[in-house]
Amino acid sequence: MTRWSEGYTKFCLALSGEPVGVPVAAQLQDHAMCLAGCPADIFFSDPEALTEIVLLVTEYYGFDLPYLIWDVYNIEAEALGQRLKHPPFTMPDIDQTDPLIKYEKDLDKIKLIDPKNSGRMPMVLESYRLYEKYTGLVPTLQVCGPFSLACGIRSYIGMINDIEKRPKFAHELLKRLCDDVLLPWIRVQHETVPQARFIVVADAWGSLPNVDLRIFEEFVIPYIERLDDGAQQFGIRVSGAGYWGESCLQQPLKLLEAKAQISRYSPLGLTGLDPDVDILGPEIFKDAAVKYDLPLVLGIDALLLNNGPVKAIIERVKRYIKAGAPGGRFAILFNNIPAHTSPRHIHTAVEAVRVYGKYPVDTDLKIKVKTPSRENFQKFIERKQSDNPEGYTFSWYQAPTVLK
Amino acid sequence: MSIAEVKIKKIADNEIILQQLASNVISGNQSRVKKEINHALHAGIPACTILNEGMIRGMTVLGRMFRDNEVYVPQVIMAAQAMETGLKILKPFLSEFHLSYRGKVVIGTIQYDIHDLGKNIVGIFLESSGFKVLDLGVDVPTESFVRAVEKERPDLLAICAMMTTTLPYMQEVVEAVRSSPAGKGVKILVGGLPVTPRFARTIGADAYGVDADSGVKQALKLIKKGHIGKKAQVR
Repeated sequence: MTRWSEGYTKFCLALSGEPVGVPVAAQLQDHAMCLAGCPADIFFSDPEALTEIVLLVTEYYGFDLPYLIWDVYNIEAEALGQRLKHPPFTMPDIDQTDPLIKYEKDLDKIKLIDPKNSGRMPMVLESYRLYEKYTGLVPTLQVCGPFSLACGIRSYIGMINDIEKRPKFAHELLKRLCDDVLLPWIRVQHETVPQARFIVVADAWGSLPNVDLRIFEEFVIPYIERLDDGAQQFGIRVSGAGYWGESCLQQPLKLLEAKAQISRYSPLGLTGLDPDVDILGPEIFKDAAVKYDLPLVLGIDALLLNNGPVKAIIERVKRYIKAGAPGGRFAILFNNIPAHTSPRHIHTAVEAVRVYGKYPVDTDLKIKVKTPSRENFQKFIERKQSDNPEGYTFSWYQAPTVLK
Repeated sequence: MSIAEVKIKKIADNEIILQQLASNVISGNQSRVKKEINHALHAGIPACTILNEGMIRGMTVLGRMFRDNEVYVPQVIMAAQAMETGLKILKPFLSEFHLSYRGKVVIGTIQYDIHDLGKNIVGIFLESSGFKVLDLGVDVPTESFVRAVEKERPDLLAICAMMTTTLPYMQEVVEAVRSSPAGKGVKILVGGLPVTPRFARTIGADAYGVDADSGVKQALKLIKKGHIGKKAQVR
């Protein structure tokens, strides 16, 4: 048993339809790095810093489950030789002005890579190991989606031009990325974490309005399925994730149906992210999840969490729980919390999930949520350093940033 | 056929050519745009009419379609490339005034932010609304914005950001441009996902655009207020 066993059980029960409460998790790498005062070049390259800081910040806010994630869209591209830019206080990003694949002949640059010795792939593998060691849980394996990786090494505009003018080449690029890069990488990840049953394929470039539904159906979905076909052979299923854009469509159900199809192997099921959920209303997402017999995760807007006010954050949480929680199979996700978000906003949002997310869900939800009083992160870290059952190294530790 | 009838037929024929040009811009068909422009020039249609009533008309319709989610970013990219192809053919026949009659815009994404998609789309629609657009690219340091304002003397400076972490640099640019001699009169438009109207007001920007459509509307509004555009007419 570790401190995370209870949260893990809560997630499992909720997603299987026997909820004790609405669980909540967060994608918080930028915010965690900022709160811990860790420089970006250390945070995104040192597995101890990355894993320990994410776990500590997750514990600090009281999220049910730690979601370990890095700059997931860069790892494979960087390993292939794509140039990244490294801003000082946020995650690295691909330099879209200098793509690796400039001409058709550059396809030869896509070669079978050795994931144990390429770029920051070893960091990813070591982070999985540390996550397991510290939490006792199986980490969520993750790779970049084929379409997003193609946009990374070919540039987004280059990829759109290929799709419109040289569709054969676009398909060839996607095939090569699946077969020569992503499948070997998935295999090594699975060898490192053999208990994992699924892998998340993050593919946000394949969202609307970056693509239209035709491109999504012809250049995004088939390559998630290609990865799934390949990965099945070594015992793991693939789940496409990170897609948004339902609110760009007259008939959002078309996209929800496609998302349901490619995310069916993830225990998290169907995901709806803001601003789509806010614009369309959470009910349409809940109806789709019920229709396709999948759990539902609704993501709260990062900018709302950042900008507040707390009253609006509480209302958003309440609205999503009211629509999503009845019948269970539901969880809340805080989408990519921005670096400088006030901890007060996050504490209040978590408190709102605790207050409104109790089963049986009170449909009136009239209870008022108050911002809880919490120690600041610096005090929390000092306390953790003196009482450290996990055995964190704190090798990255400097003075944490004081965010108000 | 009387002279009047011939003239009416000519106007109708020209309108068909311009409509076809507009529709080929919308569909992003570069080779058809090329063909229609040559056709229009041979038919004696003035270059500025081809630009305004063919190409810009097409981009204006596309802008509305993009706003209403009838087309998406790939269609905008293809249309912008068709527009660029067309402009290359038309340029020798156009004066600087016709290419920038609304004014000159310097646009760029803030330092440490390398997101260029939103900025490119705003640039495309500003250009197709009659602005001359000078794109500084992404990850643009404050001093480069100031230098560009000093060198280019734009009517409008458009600054984009995609991350909350880079917002302080937006403020730095606004302050630096305002305190440079050339930047006193320049109007500043800010936009991007993390930017809010309140933030725009706080840092002293003149306008804020939540997306490409509202960014262009704000730019045009500044012209209507008489803030800018006059310089372009006397150039």
